[in-house]
Amino acid sequence: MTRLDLRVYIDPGEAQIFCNLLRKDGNHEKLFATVDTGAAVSLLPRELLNALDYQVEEQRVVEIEQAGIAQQAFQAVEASVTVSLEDAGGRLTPPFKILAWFAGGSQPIIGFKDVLDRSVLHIDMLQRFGWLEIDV
Amino acid sequence: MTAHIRTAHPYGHTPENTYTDFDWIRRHERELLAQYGECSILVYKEQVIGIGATYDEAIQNAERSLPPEMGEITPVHQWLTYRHPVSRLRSIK
Repeated sequence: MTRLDLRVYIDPGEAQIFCNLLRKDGNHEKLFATVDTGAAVSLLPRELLNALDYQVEEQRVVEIEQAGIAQQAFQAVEASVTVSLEDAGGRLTPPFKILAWFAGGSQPIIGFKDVLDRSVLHIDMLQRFGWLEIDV
Repeated sequence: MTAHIRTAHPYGHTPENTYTDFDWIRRHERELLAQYGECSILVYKEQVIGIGATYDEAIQNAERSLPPEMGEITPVHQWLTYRHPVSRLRSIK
């Protein structure tokens, strides 16, 4: 298990974590992503996809409902990518694969599939402190 | 033209400015959105050095404005967007 500190913010309230996405050239693209317990799957910016080392198991575009509001639906590409999570103390997980949705113009979101579903998540808004402990 | 911008790094390598620059963007998000609107933004040592409609455009914008004698720098990139107040993302089909 790797334990990583979250960056916890208020107004708006949010917990964020650093992510490294494996690129085709072997380097990693760094993102600052929101940890979102409302997201079934992580959501990443689509314009990154061409630079990333990704696999598509089944060529399909998924339609995503946002906040249960039909008018907020949008489309995304579903792909597997290799990620490592990091905190501001320099702690880093080994690289691991996650299934993610890629949509245009989106701020990165870390959701349940392959990440939060293998983690312990602790957020203390009073102390503005949080951590994620992940089994990879 | 010599490229100055490096945004991708080997595993385990994080430039010194990375954490503070991402944190700076998050803490100044409202002001940045008011000034630049929704866009891709590059920040280095708590200064905006490039903006554009896409990630590539932001890099090109920064490369054009940096002095030729400047060496390689390691800005962070973020997509500035107005947030939906509630996310709850689910696949419809």
